[in-house]
Amino acid sequence: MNVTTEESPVSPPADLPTDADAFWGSTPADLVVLPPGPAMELPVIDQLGAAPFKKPDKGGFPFLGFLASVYEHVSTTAAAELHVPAVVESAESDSVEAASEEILPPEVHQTDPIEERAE
Amino acid sequence: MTESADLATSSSTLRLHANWHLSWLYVWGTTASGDALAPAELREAVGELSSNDSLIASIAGDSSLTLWMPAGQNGSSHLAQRTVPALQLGAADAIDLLSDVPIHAPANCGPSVVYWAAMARFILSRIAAGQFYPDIDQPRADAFVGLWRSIIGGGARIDQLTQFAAAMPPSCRAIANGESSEASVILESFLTTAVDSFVRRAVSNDDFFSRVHDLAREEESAGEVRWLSSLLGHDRSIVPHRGNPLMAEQIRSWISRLDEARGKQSWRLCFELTEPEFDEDDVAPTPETLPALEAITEIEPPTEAADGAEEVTPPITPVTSVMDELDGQDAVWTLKFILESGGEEIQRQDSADLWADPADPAGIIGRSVSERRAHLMAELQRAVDLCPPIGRAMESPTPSFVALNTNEAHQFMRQWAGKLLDNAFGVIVPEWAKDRSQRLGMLLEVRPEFDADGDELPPELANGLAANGAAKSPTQLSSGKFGLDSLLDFDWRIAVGELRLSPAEFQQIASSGVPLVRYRGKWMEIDQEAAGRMVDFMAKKNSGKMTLAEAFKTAFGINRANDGVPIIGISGVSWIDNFLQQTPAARLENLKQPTEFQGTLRNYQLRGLDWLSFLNRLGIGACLADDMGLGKTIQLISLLLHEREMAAKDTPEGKPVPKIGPTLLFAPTSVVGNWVKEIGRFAKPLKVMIHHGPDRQSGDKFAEGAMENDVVITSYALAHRDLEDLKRPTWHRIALDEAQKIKNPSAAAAVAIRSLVAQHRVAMTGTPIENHLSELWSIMEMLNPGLLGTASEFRERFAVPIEKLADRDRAMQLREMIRPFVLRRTKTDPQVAADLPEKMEMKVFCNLSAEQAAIYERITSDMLGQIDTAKGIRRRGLILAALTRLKQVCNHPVLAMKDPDAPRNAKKHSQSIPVAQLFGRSGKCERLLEMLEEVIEEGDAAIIFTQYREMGHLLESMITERLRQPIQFLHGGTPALGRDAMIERFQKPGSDIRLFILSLRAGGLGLNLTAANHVFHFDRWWNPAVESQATDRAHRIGQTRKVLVHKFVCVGTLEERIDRLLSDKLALADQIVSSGDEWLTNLSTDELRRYLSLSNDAVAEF
Repeated sequence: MNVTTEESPVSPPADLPTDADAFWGSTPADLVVLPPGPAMELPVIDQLGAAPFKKPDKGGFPFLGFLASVYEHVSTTAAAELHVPAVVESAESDSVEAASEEILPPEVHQTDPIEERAE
Repeated sequence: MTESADLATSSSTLRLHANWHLSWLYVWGTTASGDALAPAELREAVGELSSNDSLIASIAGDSSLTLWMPAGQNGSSHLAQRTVPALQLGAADAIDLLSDVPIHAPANCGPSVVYWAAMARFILSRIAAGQFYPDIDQPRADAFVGLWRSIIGGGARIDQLTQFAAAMPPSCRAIANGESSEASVILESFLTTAVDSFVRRAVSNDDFFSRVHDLAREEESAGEVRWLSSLLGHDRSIVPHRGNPLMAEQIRSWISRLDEARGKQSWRLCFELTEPEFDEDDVAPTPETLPALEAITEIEPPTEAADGAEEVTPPITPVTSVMDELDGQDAVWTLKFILESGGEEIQRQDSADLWADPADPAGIIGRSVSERRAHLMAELQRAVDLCPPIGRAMESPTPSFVALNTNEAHQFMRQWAGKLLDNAFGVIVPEWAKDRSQRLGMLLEVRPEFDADGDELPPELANGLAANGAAKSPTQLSSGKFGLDSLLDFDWRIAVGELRLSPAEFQQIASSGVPLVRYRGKWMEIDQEAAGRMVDFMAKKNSGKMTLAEAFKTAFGINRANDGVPIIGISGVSWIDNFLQQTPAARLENLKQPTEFQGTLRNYQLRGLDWLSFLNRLGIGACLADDMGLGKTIQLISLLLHEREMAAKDTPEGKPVPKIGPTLLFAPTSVVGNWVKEIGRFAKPLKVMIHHGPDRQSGDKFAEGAMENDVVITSYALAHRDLEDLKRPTWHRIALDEAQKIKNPSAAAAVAIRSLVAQHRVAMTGTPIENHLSELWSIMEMLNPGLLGTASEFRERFAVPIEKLADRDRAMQLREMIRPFVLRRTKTDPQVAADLPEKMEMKVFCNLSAEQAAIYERITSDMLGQIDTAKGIRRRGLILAALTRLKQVCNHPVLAMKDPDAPRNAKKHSQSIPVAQLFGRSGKCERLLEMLEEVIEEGDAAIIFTQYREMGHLLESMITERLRQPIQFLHGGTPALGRDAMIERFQKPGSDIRLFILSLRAGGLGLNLTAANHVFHFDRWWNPAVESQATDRAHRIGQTRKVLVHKFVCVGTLEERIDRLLSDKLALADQIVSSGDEWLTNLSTDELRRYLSLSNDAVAEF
C-alpha cells in the first residue's frame, strides 16, 4: 500500500528537517530513565497537610486516608509496570520478616551462635 | 496528486513510528520498501511488541494520521503532507504499550517509539514515586472537573525534562495541523494526559475505590466525595452542586501549598547591584601616593592614646578630593536583572543573555525561552511598584538592567531591597553592604582602672579564695577590679570596621551629604540622620565610667542608653581584650595539663581549660558549647583538678592547703553513670558523691557528705524537689551538663538552679544555643544574671526581631554579645580538626531503669537457680538463653518481655505497644535519643547498629516520635532493591535521611555509608573485629569528616564487666573474642554470679 501525498497550502514548521535521516532522528540512546528509587521529594500528602474538609472524628469522610490508599495503589501499579518496588509505602508483608540472607563471612558469623536467635 | 513517499529509513527493515496528537498516541509503521504498513500488519507488529494480548484487541478501530514528511529524490528533498494508517491508543494504553518496549529496543522500533517509551518510563517513575496530585478545574462557569497532575520538580528533574525536549526526534513534531510543533508543548500534553489517564485506569476496577461513586450520587454528599468521584472514574465531571464553587476555592487553596513547596524550584527574578567601576588610579591611596595627597587634605595629627602609646591615626584619604574626582553622587551603579532557578542545582541566566538567545533548543518545559521572557517582563512589572527606578528599564523592549545614581543605590540597599525580598524576588548586593561590621557606628572602648594582665591577678583572686582561705561570694569576687562588676573607664569612638575616626574626620565625611562614600578604596555607608545623632552623642557623653556589665548592655542596646545612635560593639584593652576576643591564651600563660589527669588533653581541650580557668578567675559564668564528642566532660574535669593543684601550689609550705569546695553538677539521669565513670577514669583523686535515687541523703547528712567530696552529681529532676537540701552546702561551683535541659526559664528546675549560690558557674551543651533564644536567655541568666536584661527586655530586643522579623543584624549583634561567654568549637574547625584522629571511639555508660534492673535480676536469679541442677547441653542452653535476655533487657525491657513463642513476629510485637509507653524505661534509649538530637542539631548524620531486629523497630518508633525525623531501618528482611534504595537515599548529598538504623548482621559489612560521621553501637557484639567492620561502613574511603564511634555500655551489668575484660586485654579477652558468649558457659555458678549480678550503681530513676 502506498501512502497518499497531498499538496497543502499550509507550510510545514520551519525547523523541521527535510533530510530523511535528520527527520527520523537517531535512537536517543542516552535517554535512560531513572527508576523511581527512593522518594527524594516529600510525599505529596505530607506537603499538602491537613485537608480543608470535615474531619472523620467529626463525622466527615475519611478523605486523607482514602487518598492515601489511592496513592499507594496507583504507585504500586506504576511500579509494577516498571518492574521496580513502589516508593509510596505499603503495608509490609509477612514475607519481609523472613530470615535474612547470610551476609557476614562464615568465620565472623561463627563467633556468635546466639545471633540466629537475636536477629 | 500522489508520489512515492520516502518513508524508509536507511535501514531496510520494518519500522514502527509513534506520534502524540490531541490526547492520543498514534502508532504507525513503514515497510522495507518505504510503504506504510497496512492496518492488519500494523496490529500484528504492535502486538508483538506488547506483552498484553488484550491490549491490541481492545483498540477499537483503525485510524489514520497526517504528517509532514520528507519527499522528493536526487537530493532535492522537501516536506510534503502524508496520511498513513495508524493505531490510535488512549494515554493509559499508550503507557502500557510503551513501558513494554525494552530500553534496548528491538530493531523494528523507530527512534520515535524508543523516545516515547523512555518518556513513558519517566512518567511511571514519577507516579511510582507518588509525585502526582489531585486538582480541580473549571472549564465553564457552571462546570467543575477533577483531574490528576504530575509534579515535575526542580533541579535534576527539570534537567531531565530539558533533555527529553531536546532529544525529541523531529518526526514527533511533524503532525500536520497539530496544536503545536514545539517539542516542549507536545511533551507537556503527553505528560498531563498520561498521568491523569493512568491514575484513573489504575483505580477503575477496584471495588474499594468504586464505592465513592455511589456516595457522590447521594443528595447531601460531601464536596470532597464528589471531587474524589470525579478523580477516580472515567467521567471527570464533578456532580453539580451548589457547594461546588466554595469547595473549588478550598481545594485550590489547599493545593497551593504544593506551589509553596515547589516555589524554590521555579525561576525567580533577582536584582544584582554592582558598584561603579573606577580606574586603578582612583583606588585608595598607597603609601607611595599619600604624600602627594596630603597636600590637598587635612590630616589630624596623631593623638595620644590613653595608655600612653602613640595611637596611629589611619591616614585619611582625601575624602573630598576623592569624591570630587569620582563625582560620587553622579557615579553610575548598575542594577542587573537575573533569572535564577531554585532546586538542587541553581542555574542563573542574565536577562541580557535571555534576550540574545532566540532559539534555545533545550527550552525547559513550562520555562521555554519565550515563557522565561514573559516571566521576566511580568516580574519586572511587579517589581516597579517596589523599586520605581526599574520602570526606566521597561522603556526598553529587552530590559536587562537599569542604571542608578548613588542616592538610588543607597535607597536600593536600605529600602527597596527589603521590599523586593519580602515579595519573593532575589537581591544581590556587594558584600560590604551586608557586612554589619563594615558600617559606620559608635564603638564603646573600655579600659580597666587596674590595668593588669592575667598574670598580675592577685593569687587569692586567681583561686577564687579570700586571703584567709574562706570562700568568697560571687558578689565579693566580682565587685572589685575584675569581672562583670568591675568599674571601667570608657570612651566612645566612631568606627568603620577596623578604622577609627576622630570627630573631625567624621564630620568631614558626614558633611559631604552623600549616603555612600568611597573612602580608602572602599565604599562606606553614611546615614545622615544617624551621623547627626552621633555628633550630638559624642558631645554629651564622650567618656566616663561604667561596669563591664553596663558596658555590655550599653554596647548591645539592652539598656536603651544609646539615644538612637548606631552602636557597633565594644572593644577593650588588657584582660578585657582577652575576655572579649576570647583569646586568653594569647596573653595568659598557657596552662599545662593537670598532673593528676589520667590521659592526654588535646590542644583545643587545653585551650578550653585556659578559657574556663580565665573566666573562672574573673568570676564570669562560662558556657562550653563544643560539638558532641569533643570532650566537654574532660575539660571540666581537668578544671577541677587544675584549681586544686593551683591551691596546693600557692599555699606556703607547711600550711594546710585550703580545700576547694564541691562542685554541684546537674546532669540528665541518663548520663549520671557516665560522669562517675569518666571522673573515675581521668581524675582518680576527685571524690564523687551521687545524689540520686530513693536512698539519697538529706538534711545535715547530705550537707556534710557534700562538703567532703569534690563533685556532687545530681539530676535536673531533683533541683526543685531537693532544693532545700541543695541550698545547705557552700558550693564552689554549679555546673550544668546538657544545659539545654533548663531551656524553659520558668520551669521549676531552672528557677531552683538559679536560686542556688555558688562562686562559679559553668554550663555545658552541645547544641548551638544562639539558635534557641529562650534556651540562650535561660542559660545565660543562670551563668551571669542580668547580663541579657530581663526576659521581657531580651524578648523585645532580640527574640522578637530575630525570630519573628528575621532581623539578621540583630542576630549578629546577639552573637557578638554572647561570644565572650560561650566557647563553641565544632569538629570541622580547622584547629580542632587538626587535633582529632580520623576516628574517635568513646564509651557511653548508661544506667538501667528500675524496671530494667528488676527484670535483669529476675533473669539472673532464675538462671542461677536452674543451672545448679543442670548439666551439659541443658546447662549451656540455659546460660546462653539467659545471656540473650540479659543483653536484651539492657537495651529495653520490652525486648526481654516479648512472647517467646513468637520469635519471628518481631515488628508486630513492638508495634503492639504504643510508642508513648516506650519512653523513660531504658537508660540506653534515653541517652541515644539525647545524643541523636545533638547529631541532628549539628547537621551531622548517624548510623546505629543493633543485633536485634525488634530493637531496631523500637528505636525507629521512638526516634520518629521524639525527634520527628525521617529514619530508615535496614535489616535482614529488607529486599535487595529496597536496601539499595535506602543506601542511595542516605548517601545522597542533602538527604532528608540523617539517621539510619542497621541490623549488625545485615548492615555490618560491605555497605558504603560515608554520609554518616557518627556510628552508634547500641548493643555490643564483644568482637572488636565485627564492630570495627561495622564502624568501617562510615569510616572508609570517601569519608571526608571525622568519625565518632559511640559504644553503649550499661553500668554495673555484664555489659560493663565484659567491656572491661576486653579493654584491659585480660587473658579472658581472647576467649571472649573467639567464642562469643560460649566462654561464659564454662564458668562455675559462682563465677557466673560474679559476672552477671547487678551492682549498686547500675540503676537510675528516669
